[in-house]
Amino acid sequence: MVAPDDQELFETEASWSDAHGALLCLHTGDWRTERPVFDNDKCNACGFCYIYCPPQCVVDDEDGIHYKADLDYCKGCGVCARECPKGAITMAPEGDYSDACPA
Amino acid sequence: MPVQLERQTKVLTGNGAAAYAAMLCRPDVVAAYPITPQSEVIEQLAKFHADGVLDCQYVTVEGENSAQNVVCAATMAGGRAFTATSSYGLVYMYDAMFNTAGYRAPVVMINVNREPPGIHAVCSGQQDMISVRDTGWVQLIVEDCQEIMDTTIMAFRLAEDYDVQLPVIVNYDGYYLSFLAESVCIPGSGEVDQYLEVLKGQPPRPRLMPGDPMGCGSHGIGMGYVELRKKHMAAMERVKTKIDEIDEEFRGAFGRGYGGQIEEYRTEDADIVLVTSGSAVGTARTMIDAKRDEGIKVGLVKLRLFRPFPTERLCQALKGKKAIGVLDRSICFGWNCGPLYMETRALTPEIGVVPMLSFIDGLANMDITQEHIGRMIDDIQGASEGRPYQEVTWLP
Repeated sequence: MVAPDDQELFETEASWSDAHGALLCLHTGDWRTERPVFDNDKCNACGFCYIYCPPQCVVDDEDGIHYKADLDYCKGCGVCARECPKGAITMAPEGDYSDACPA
Repeated sequence: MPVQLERQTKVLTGNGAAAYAAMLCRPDVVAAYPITPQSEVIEQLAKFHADGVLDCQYVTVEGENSAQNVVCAATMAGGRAFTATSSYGLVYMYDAMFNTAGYRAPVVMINVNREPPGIHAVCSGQQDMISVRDTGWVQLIVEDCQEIMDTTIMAFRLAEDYDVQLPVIVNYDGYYLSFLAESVCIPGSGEVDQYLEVLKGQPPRPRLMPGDPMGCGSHGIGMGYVELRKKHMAAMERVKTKIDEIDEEFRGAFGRGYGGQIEEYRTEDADIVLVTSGSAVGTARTMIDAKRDEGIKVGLVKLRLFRPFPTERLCQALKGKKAIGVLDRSICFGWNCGPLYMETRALTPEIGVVPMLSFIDGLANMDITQEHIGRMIDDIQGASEGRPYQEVTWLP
Protein backbone atom coordinates (compact mmCIF):
# COMPACT_ATOMS: atom_id res chain seq x y z
CA MET A 1 0.00 0.00 0.00
CA VAL A 2 1.23 3.44 -0.87
CA ALA A 3 0.01 6.55 0.88
CA PRO A 4 -2.30 8.71 -1.21
CA ASP A 5 -0.88 12.06 -2.21
CA ASP A 6 -2.59 14.00 0.58
CA GLN A 7 -0.72 11.91 3.15
CA GLU A 8 2.78 12.51 1.82
CA LEU A 9 5.51 12.78 4.41
CA PHE A 10 7.85 14.74 2.16
CA GLU A 11 7.06 17.84 0.15
CA THR A 12 10.20 17.27 -1.89
CA GLU A 13 11.14 14.57 -4.38
CA ALA A 14 13.94 13.27 -2.16
CA SER A 15 13.81 12.76 1.59
CA TRP A 16 14.73 16.31 2.49
CA SER A 17 13.74 17.49 5.93
CA ASP A 18 14.37 20.50 8.09
CA ALA A 19 17.04 19.47 10.57
CA HIS A 20 16.77 22.48 12.85
CA GLY A 21 14.85 20.38 15.33
CA ALA A 22 17.13 17.38 14.91
CA LEU A 23 20.61 18.87 15.06
CA LEU A 24 21.85 20.90 18.00
CA CYS A 25 19.06 19.88 20.37
CA LEU A 26 20.30 16.69 22.07
CA HIS A 27 23.29 17.46 24.31
CA THR A 28 25.71 15.27 22.43
CA GLY A 29 28.62 17.02 24.13
CA ASP A 30 28.22 14.42 26.87
CA TRP A 31 29.60 11.77 24.49
CA ARG A 32 32.92 13.56 24.09
CA THR A 33 36.22 12.04 25.22
CA GLU A 34 38.38 14.73 23.58
CA ARG A 35 37.66 18.38 22.90
CA PRO A 36 39.04 20.73 20.25
CA VAL A 37 41.20 23.53 21.65
CA PHE A 38 41.61 26.52 19.33
CA ASP A 39 44.89 28.48 19.24
CA ASN A 40 43.87 31.90 17.93
CA ASP A 41 47.51 32.93 17.46
CA LYS A 42 47.92 30.27 14.76
CA CYS A 43 44.41 30.63 13.31
CA ASN A 44 44.01 32.63 10.08
CA ALA A 45 40.21 32.48 10.27
CA CYS A 46 39.91 30.51 7.00
CA GLY A 47 36.72 28.82 8.24
CA PHE A 48 37.62 25.24 7.27
CA CYS A 49 36.63 24.04 10.76
CA TYR A 50 33.28 25.80 10.40
CA ILE A 51 32.63 24.19 7.00
CA TYR A 52 33.83 20.71 7.93
CA CYS A 53 32.11 20.31 11.33
CA PRO A 54 29.54 17.54 10.66
CA PRO A 55 26.83 18.78 13.06
CA GLN A 56 27.72 22.43 12.43
CA CYS A 57 28.70 23.21 16.01
CA VAL A 58 31.82 25.25 15.25
CA VAL A 59 30.61 28.77 15.92
CA ASP A 60 31.96 32.33 15.88
CA ASP A 61 34.26 33.28 18.71
CA GLU A 62 33.32 36.29 20.83
CA ASP A 63 36.08 38.30 19.14
CA GLY A 64 34.13 38.12 15.88
CA ILE A 65 37.20 36.85 13.96
CA HIS A 66 38.04 33.36 15.13
CA TYR A 67 36.05 30.22 15.86
CA LYS A 68 35.25 28.03 18.83
CA ALA A 69 33.34 24.82 19.42
CA ASP A 70 29.88 24.78 20.93
CA LEU A 71 30.76 22.26 23.64
CA ASP A 72 27.12 21.48 24.40
CA TYR A 73 26.98 19.61 21.09
CA CYS A 74 30.58 18.92 19.99
CA LYS A 75 31.11 15.14 20.09
CA GLY A 76 34.87 15.54 19.81
CA CYS A 77 35.15 13.80 16.43
CA GLY A 78 38.30 15.76 15.60
CA VAL A 79 37.48 16.55 11.97
CA CYS A 80 38.18 20.26 12.62
CA ALA A 81 41.63 19.51 14.03
CA ARG A 82 42.40 17.16 11.17
CA GLU A 83 41.38 19.65 8.50
CA CYS A 84 42.83 22.85 10.01
CA PRO A 85 45.56 23.90 7.54
CA LYS A 86 47.36 25.93 10.22
CA GLY A 87 47.41 23.23 12.90
CA ALA A 88 45.61 25.69 15.18
CA ILE A 89 43.28 23.07 16.67
CA THR A 90 44.45 20.32 18.99
CA MET A 91 42.37 17.60 20.56
CA ALA A 92 42.78 17.51 24.33
CA PRO A 93 41.60 14.68 26.61
CA GLU A 94 38.31 15.55 28.21
CA GLY A 95 39.66 14.35 31.58
CA ASP A 96 41.98 17.40 31.68
CA TYR A 97 38.90 19.56 31.92
CA SER A 98 36.99 17.49 34.46
CA ASP A 99 37.04 18.59 38.08
CA ALA A 100 35.32 15.55 39.46
CA CYS A 101 36.01 11.83 39.34
CA PRO A 102 33.04 9.77 38.21
CA ALA A 103 31.40 7.95 41.09
CA MET B 1 32.78 36.65 -17.22
CA PRO B 2 32.52 33.00 -18.28
CA VAL B 3 34.59 31.89 -21.25
CA GLN B 4 32.76 32.21 -24.57
CA LEU B 5 33.51 29.77 -27.37
CA GLU B 6 32.37 29.90 -30.98
CA ARG B 7 30.73 27.01 -32.74
CA GLN B 8 33.38 24.92 -34.51
CA THR B 9 33.88 21.62 -36.27
CA LYS B 10 36.78 19.50 -35.12
CA VAL B 11 38.02 15.94 -35.41
CA LEU B 12 37.39 14.51 -31.95
CA THR B 13 37.50 11.07 -30.40
CA GLY B 14 34.39 9.93 -28.55
CA ASN B 15 36.16 10.77 -25.32
CA GLY B 16 37.08 14.19 -26.65
CA ALA B 17 33.46 14.83 -27.61
CA ALA B 18 32.31 13.87 -24.11
CA ALA B 19 34.85 16.21 -22.51
CA TYR B 20 33.90 19.12 -24.78
CA ALA B 21 30.21 18.57 -24.05
CA ALA B 22 30.77 18.46 -20.31
CA MET B 23 32.91 21.62 -20.46
CA LEU B 24 30.25 23.47 -22.46
CA CYS B 25 27.64 22.69 -19.80
CA ARG B 26 29.80 24.55 -17.25
CA PRO B 27 29.85 22.10 -14.33
CA ASP B 28 30.68 23.58 -10.92
CA VAL B 29 32.42 20.40 -9.82
CA VAL B 30 34.24 17.67 -11.73
CA ALA B 31 35.53 14.68 -9.76
CA ALA B 32 36.77 11.56 -11.47
CA TYR B 33 39.47 8.93 -11.46
CA PRO B 34 41.26 7.76 -14.59
CA ILE B 35 40.47 4.34 -16.03
CA THR B 36 40.93 2.82 -19.47
CA PRO B 37 39.22 3.59 -21.82
CA GLN B 38 37.74 6.67 -20.15
CA SER B 39 40.92 8.47 -18.98
CA GLU B 40 41.04 10.81 -21.97
CA VAL B 41 37.71 12.36 -20.90
CA ILE B 42 39.01 13.60 -17.58
CA GLU B 43 42.48 14.38 -18.93
CA GLN B 44 40.87 16.71 -21.44
CA LEU B 45 38.68 18.25 -18.71
CA ALA B 46 41.77 18.73 -16.52
CA LYS B 47 43.40 20.53 -19.43
CA PHE B 48 40.35 22.75 -19.93
CA HIS B 49 40.52 23.55 -16.23
CA ALA B 50 44.26 24.25 -16.28
CA ASP B 51 43.90 26.44 -19.37
CA GLY B 52 41.18 28.49 -17.75
CA VAL B 53 38.52 27.38 -20.22
CA LEU B 54 36.58 25.49 -17.54
CA ASP B 55 35.91 27.33 -14.31
CA CYS B 56 35.11 24.58 -11.81
CA GLN B 57 36.32 22.75 -8.75
CA TYR B 58 38.33 19.87 -10.21
CA VAL B 59 38.66 17.28 -7.44
CA THR B 60 41.39 14.70 -7.98
CA VAL B 61 40.01 11.86 -5.89
CA GLU B 62 41.75 8.64 -4.92
CA GLY B 63 39.15 6.37 -6.48
CA GLU B 64 35.74 6.15 -8.11
CA ASN B 65 33.86 5.61 -4.87
CA SER B 66 35.03 9.00 -3.67
CA ALA B 67 34.39 10.52 -7.09
CA GLN B 68 30.76 9.50 -6.92
CA ASN B 69 30.36 10.78 -3.37
CA VAL B 70 31.95 14.12 -4.28
CA VAL B 71 29.70 14.75 -7.27
CA CYS B 72 26.64 13.60 -5.32
CA ALA B 73 27.45 16.04 -2.51
CA ALA B 74 28.18 18.81 -5.02
CA THR B 75 24.73 18.54 -6.57
CA MET B 76 23.14 18.40 -3.12
CA ALA B 77 24.83 21.70 -2.36
CA GLY B 78 23.11 23.09 -5.46
CA GLY B 79 25.93 22.72 -7.97
CA ARG B 80 26.19 21.07 -11.36
CA ALA B 81 28.50 18.09 -11.29
CA PHE B 82 30.09 15.71 -13.75
CA THR B 83 32.07 12.51 -13.51
CA ALA B 84 33.19 9.80 -15.90
CA THR B 85 34.18 6.20 -15.46
CA SER B 86 34.17 2.71 -16.94
CA SER B 87 33.92 -0.94 -15.93
CA TYR B 88 35.93 -1.54 -12.73
CA GLY B 89 35.47 2.11 -11.81
CA LEU B 90 31.72 1.89 -12.25
CA VAL B 91 31.36 -1.13 -10.00
CA TYR B 92 33.74 0.42 -7.46
CA MET B 93 31.22 3.25 -7.02
CA TYR B 94 28.21 0.91 -6.92
CA ASP B 95 27.05 1.71 -3.37
CA ALA B 96 27.53 5.43 -3.88
CA MET B 97 25.41 5.28 -7.03
CA PHE B 98 22.42 4.19 -4.95
CA ASN B 99 22.97 7.24 -2.73
CA THR B 100 23.11 9.61 -5.68
CA ALA B 101 19.93 8.19 -7.15
CA GLY B 102 18.16 7.91 -3.79
CA TYR B 103 18.99 11.53 -2.94
CA ARG B 104 17.71 12.41 -6.42
CA ALA B 105 21.00 14.19 -7.04
CA PRO B 106 21.16 15.15 -10.74
CA VAL B 107 24.72 14.08 -11.48
CA VAL B 108 25.72 13.47 -15.10
CA MET B 109 28.16 10.64 -15.63
CA ILE B 110 29.87 9.24 -18.70
CA ASN B 111 30.33 5.49 -18.66
CA VAL B 112 32.61 4.20 -21.39
CA ASN B 113 31.43 0.62 -21.81
CA ARG B 114 34.02 -2.01 -21.03
CA GLU B 115 33.85 -5.58 -19.80
CA PRO B 116 33.72 -5.72 -15.99
CA PRO B 117 36.06 -7.64 -13.65
CA GLY B 118 36.20 -11.41 -13.53
CA ILE B 119 37.90 -12.32 -16.74
CA HIS B 120 40.36 -9.44 -16.83
CA ALA B 121 39.23 -7.84 -20.04
CA VAL B 122 40.60 -4.47 -21.11
CA CYS B 123 38.16 -4.35 -23.99
CA SER B 124 34.71 -3.30 -25.09
CA GLY B 125 31.43 -4.81 -23.89
CA GLN B 126 28.27 -3.48 -22.29
CA GLN B 127 28.18 -5.71 -19.23
CA ASP B 128 29.19 -2.81 -16.95
CA MET B 129 26.08 -0.73 -17.71
CA ILE B 130 23.88 -3.80 -17.33
CA SER B 131 25.35 -4.41 -13.87
CA VAL B 132 24.06 -1.06 -12.55
CA ARG B 133 20.62 -1.10 -14.13
CA ASP B 134 18.74 -1.27 -10.82
CA THR B 135 20.56 1.56 -9.06
CA GLY B 136 17.83 4.03 -10.05
CA TRP B 137 19.90 5.98 -12.58
CA VAL B 138 18.67 7.01 -15.99
CA GLN B 139 20.80 5.33 -18.66
CA LEU B 140 21.26 6.40 -22.24
CA ILE B 141 23.39 4.67 -24.85
CA VAL B 142 24.63 6.27 -28.02
CA GLU B 143 26.03 5.39 -31.41
CA ASP B 144 28.70 7.84 -32.58
CA CYS B 145 30.89 10.77 -31.53
CA GLN B 146 28.41 13.49 -32.50
CA GLU B 147 25.71 11.72 -30.54
CA ILE B 148 28.05 11.53 -27.53
CA MET B 149 28.46 15.31 -27.72
CA ASP B 150 24.78 16.04 -28.14
CA THR B 151 23.46 13.48 -25.68
CA THR B 152 25.82 14.62 -22.93
CA ILE B 153 24.43 18.14 -23.27
CA MET B 154 20.89 16.73 -23.26
CA ALA B 155 21.76 14.68 -20.18
CA PHE B 156 22.31 17.82 -18.08
CA ARG B 157 19.03 19.24 -19.36
CA LEU B 158 17.28 15.98 -18.41
CA ALA B 159 18.93 15.30 -15.06
CA GLU B 160 18.28 18.74 -13.61
CA ASP B 161 14.74 19.08 -14.94
CA TYR B 162 12.42 19.73 -12.02
CA ASP B 163 10.12 16.88 -13.11
CA VAL B 164 13.03 14.44 -13.23
CA GLN B 165 15.76 15.22 -10.66
CA LEU B 166 17.64 12.02 -11.37
CA PRO B 167 21.26 11.19 -12.13
CA VAL B 168 21.95 10.23 -15.73
CA ILE B 169 24.58 7.97 -17.29
CA VAL B 170 25.55 8.45 -20.91
CA ASN B 171 27.02 5.15 -22.13
CA TYR B 172 29.12 4.60 -25.23
CA ASP B 173 31.12 1.62 -26.42
CA GLY B 174 34.70 1.70 -25.22
CA TYR B 175 37.42 1.43 -27.88
CA TYR B 176 34.93 1.47 -30.78
CA LEU B 177 33.78 4.98 -29.87
CA SER B 178 36.09 6.17 -27.10
CA PHE B 179 39.07 6.24 -29.46
CA LEU B 180 37.25 6.63 -32.77
CA ALA B 181 38.11 10.03 -34.27
CA GLU B 182 35.33 11.63 -36.26
CA SER B 183 34.39 15.09 -37.41
CA VAL B 184 32.18 16.54 -34.68
CA CYS B 185 30.25 19.80 -34.61
CA ILE B 186 30.97 21.49 -31.29
CA PRO B 187 28.16 23.90 -30.40
CA GLY B 188 29.05 27.41 -29.31
CA SER B 189 28.99 28.05 -25.58
CA GLY B 190 26.28 30.66 -26.02
CA GLU B 191 24.03 28.13 -27.75
CA VAL B 192 24.50 25.62 -24.95
CA ASP B 193 23.91 28.29 -22.28
CA GLN B 194 20.71 29.17 -24.10
CA TYR B 195 19.63 25.53 -24.32
CA LEU B 196 20.14 25.01 -20.58
CA GLU B 197 18.68 28.39 -19.65
CA VAL B 198 15.24 26.88 -19.04
CA LEU B 199 16.62 25.08 -15.96
CA LYS B 200 17.24 28.42 -14.27
CA GLY B 201 13.55 29.27 -14.45
CA GLN B 202 12.48 26.11 -12.64
CA PRO B 203 11.68 25.96 -8.92
CA PRO B 204 14.85 25.58 -6.83
CA ARG B 205 15.79 22.20 -5.40
CA PRO B 206 16.47 22.02 -1.65
CA ARG B 207 20.17 22.21 -0.91
CA LEU B 208 22.72 21.89 1.85
CA MET B 209 24.05 25.14 3.24
CA PRO B 210 26.17 25.78 6.34
CA GLY B 211 24.05 27.38 9.04
CA ASP B 212 20.83 25.91 7.68
CA PRO B 213 20.76 22.30 8.84
CA MET B 214 18.87 20.00 6.48
CA GLY B 215 18.65 16.25 6.42
CA CYS B 216 18.43 14.03 3.35
CA GLY B 217 18.38 10.30 3.00
CA SER B 218 18.00 9.71 6.70
CA HIS B 219 14.34 8.68 6.82
CA GLY B 220 14.36 5.10 5.74
CA ILE B 221 11.59 3.78 7.89
CA GLY B 222 8.23 2.43 6.77
CA MET B 223 5.97 4.67 4.74
CA GLY B 224 8.62 7.33 4.21
CA TYR B 225 10.72 4.79 2.34
CA VAL B 226 7.75 3.57 0.33
CA GLU B 227 6.77 7.13 -0.60
CA LEU B 228 10.28 7.97 -1.82
CA ARG B 229 10.54 4.78 -3.82
CA LYS B 230 7.21 5.50 -5.45
CA LYS B 231 8.27 9.07 -6.27
CA HIS B 232 11.56 7.79 -7.69
CA MET B 233 9.71 5.30 -9.85
CA ALA B 234 7.24 7.96 -11.03
CA ALA B 235 10.14 10.27 -11.96
CA MET B 236 11.69 7.41 -13.94
CA GLU B 237 8.46 7.02 -15.88
CA ARG B 238 8.39 10.76 -16.61
CA VAL B 239 11.86 10.47 -18.15
CA LYS B 240 10.42 8.65 -21.17
CA THR B 241 8.31 11.49 -22.55
CA LYS B 242 10.75 14.07 -21.21
CA ILE B 243 13.65 12.68 -23.21
CA ASP B 244 11.48 12.78 -26.35
CA GLU B 245 10.65 16.44 -25.66
CA ILE B 246 14.24 17.34 -24.84
CA ASP B 247 15.42 15.67 -28.04
CA GLU B 248 12.91 17.73 -30.03
CA GLU B 249 14.03 20.93 -28.26
CA PHE B 250 17.59 19.99 -29.13
CA ARG B 251 16.67 19.49 -32.76
CA GLY B 252 15.08 22.93 -32.76
CA ALA B 253 18.13 24.55 -31.21
CA PHE B 254 20.98 22.68 -32.92
CA GLY B 255 19.43 21.02 -35.97
CA ARG B 256 20.22 17.49 -34.84
CA GLY B 257 17.85 15.00 -33.23
CA TYR B 258 17.99 11.34 -32.32
CA GLY B 259 14.40 10.27 -31.80
CA GLY B 260 14.43 10.43 -28.02
CA GLN B 261 13.93 7.01 -26.41
CA ILE B 262 14.42 4.97 -29.57
CA GLU B 263 15.19 5.59 -33.20
CA GLU B 264 13.40 3.55 -35.82
CA TYR B 265 14.99 2.84 -39.19
CA ARG B 266 12.85 1.45 -42.02
CA THR B 267 10.49 -0.21 -39.54
CA GLU B 268 7.23 1.15 -40.90
CA ASP B 269 6.69 -1.43 -43.65
CA ALA B 270 9.05 -4.02 -42.13
CA ASP B 271 8.01 -7.63 -41.51
CA ILE B 272 10.92 -8.31 -39.17
CA VAL B 273 12.92 -6.07 -36.87
CA LEU B 274 16.37 -6.12 -35.33
CA VAL B 275 16.78 -4.29 -32.02
CA THR B 276 20.20 -3.16 -30.87
CA SER B 277 22.14 -0.29 -29.31
CA GLY B 278 25.47 1.51 -29.27
CA SER B 279 28.16 1.41 -31.93
CA ALA B 280 26.71 -1.70 -33.60
CA VAL B 281 23.81 0.40 -34.89
CA GLY B 282 25.86 1.89 -37.73
CA THR B 283 26.84 -1.55 -39.02
CA ALA B 284 23.27 -2.75 -38.58
CA ARG B 285 21.90 0.17 -40.60
CA THR B 286 24.22 -0.72 -43.47
CA MET B 287 23.07 -4.33 -43.38
CA ILE B 288 19.39 -3.37 -43.20
CA ASP B 289 19.89 -1.51 -46.49
CA ALA B 290 21.76 -4.46 -48.01
CA LYS B 291 19.09 -6.97 -46.97
CA ARG B 292 16.34 -4.66 -48.20
CA ASP B 293 18.07 -4.75 -51.60
CA GLU B 294 17.82 -8.56 -51.41
CA GLY B 295 14.08 -8.21 -50.84
CA ILE B 296 13.95 -8.89 -47.10
CA LYS B 297 11.63 -6.39 -45.41
CA VAL B 298 13.70 -5.76 -42.32
CA GLY B 299 13.76 -2.73 -40.04
CA LEU B 300 15.97 -1.59 -37.20
CA VAL B 301 15.23 -0.23 -33.76
CA LYS B 302 18.05 1.61 -32.06
CA LEU B 303 17.59 1.66 -28.32
CA ARG B 304 18.82 4.97 -26.88
CA LEU B 305 17.17 4.83 -23.48
CA PHE B 306 17.97 1.75 -21.44
CA ARG B 307 16.69 2.92 -18.05
CA PRO B 308 13.82 3.52 -17.88
CA PHE B 309 13.09 0.90 -20.53
CA PRO B 310 11.11 2.49 -23.38
CA THR B 311 8.31 -0.06 -23.28
CA GLU B 312 5.57 2.01 -24.93
CA ARG B 313 7.65 3.20 -27.88
CA LEU B 314 9.11 -0.29 -28.34
CA CYS B 315 5.65 -1.87 -28.36
CA GLN B 316 4.57 0.65 -30.97
CA ALA B 317 7.60 -0.17 -33.12
CA LEU B 318 7.41 -3.94 -32.71
CA LYS B 319 3.68 -4.64 -32.72
CA GLY B 320 2.53 -6.59 -35.75
CA LYS B 321 6.01 -7.70 -36.80
CA LYS B 322 6.42 -11.36 -37.74
CA ALA B 323 9.72 -11.96 -35.93
CA ILE B 324 12.08 -9.95 -33.77
CA GLY B 325 15.79 -10.27 -33.12
CA VAL B 326 17.70 -8.55 -30.32
CA LEU B 327 21.45 -8.09 -30.47
CA ASP B 328 23.20 -7.76 -27.11
CA ARG B 329 26.80 -6.90 -26.35
CA SER B 330 26.41 -8.44 -22.89
CA ILE B 331 24.85 -11.46 -21.25
CA CYS B 332 22.10 -12.04 -18.74
CA PHE B 333 23.02 -14.65 -16.16
CA GLY B 334 20.04 -16.67 -15.02
CA TRP B 335 18.03 -16.18 -18.22
CA ASN B 336 20.53 -17.70 -20.64
CA CYS B 337 20.16 -14.88 -23.16
CA GLY B 338 21.05 -11.23 -23.70
CA PRO B 339 19.69 -8.62 -21.26
CA LEU B 340 18.02 -6.42 -23.89
CA TYR B 341 16.47 -9.57 -25.31
CA MET B 342 15.12 -10.52 -21.90
CA GLU B 343 13.56 -7.09 -21.43
CA THR B 344 12.17 -6.93 -24.97
CA ARG B 345 10.70 -10.37 -24.51
CA ALA B 346 8.86 -9.11 -21.45
CA LEU B 347 6.75 -7.03 -23.89
CA THR B 348 5.20 -10.20 -25.36
CA PRO B 349 1.75 -9.61 -23.81
CA GLU B 350 1.58 -6.28 -25.65
CA ILE B 351 3.19 -7.19 -28.97
CA GLY B 352 1.95 -10.75 -29.30
CA VAL B 353 3.65 -14.12 -29.51
CA VAL B 354 6.09 -14.10 -32.41
CA PRO B 355 9.50 -15.72 -32.78
CA MET B 356 12.06 -13.75 -30.78
CA LEU B 357 15.75 -14.41 -31.23
CA SER B 358 18.59 -13.44 -28.92
CA PHE B 359 22.00 -12.74 -30.45
CA ILE B 360 25.05 -12.33 -28.24
CA ASP B 361 27.93 -10.75 -30.10
CA GLY B 362 30.74 -8.26 -29.65
CA LEU B 363 31.87 -9.39 -26.19
CA ALA B 364 35.43 -8.43 -25.32
CA ASN B 365 36.17 -6.40 -28.46
CA MET B 366 35.03 -9.14 -30.81
CA ASP B 367 33.83 -7.19 -33.82
CA ILE B 368 30.13 -7.16 -34.67
CA THR B 369 30.68 -7.49 -38.39
CA GLN B 370 28.38 -6.92 -41.35
CA GLU B 371 28.55 -10.64 -41.98
CA HIS B 372 27.34 -11.37 -38.43
CA ILE B 373 24.42 -8.99 -38.73
CA GLY B 374 23.58 -10.41 -42.15
CA ARG B 375 23.35 -13.84 -40.58
CA MET B 376 21.15 -12.51 -37.78
CA ILE B 377 18.74 -10.98 -40.28
CA ASP B 378 18.62 -14.24 -42.24
CA ASP B 379 17.84 -16.15 -39.03
CA ILE B 380 15.07 -13.72 -38.07
CA GLN B 381 13.63 -13.89 -41.58
CA GLY B 382 13.73 -17.69 -41.49
CA ALA B 383 11.92 -17.73 -38.16
CA SER B 384 9.26 -15.37 -39.53
CA GLU B 385 8.63 -17.83 -42.36
CA GLY B 386 8.06 -20.67 -39.90
CA ARG B 387 11.45 -22.33 -40.21
CA PRO B 388 12.92 -23.78 -37.00
CA TYR B 389 15.22 -21.36 -35.20
CA GLN B 390 17.55 -21.25 -32.27
CA GLU B 391 16.42 -18.94 -29.47
CA VAL B 392 19.88 -17.85 -28.36
CA THR B 393 22.84 -17.59 -30.72
CA TRP B 394 26.38 -16.68 -29.71
CA LEU B 395 28.44 -15.19 -32.50
CA PRO B 396 30.98 -15.58 -33.95
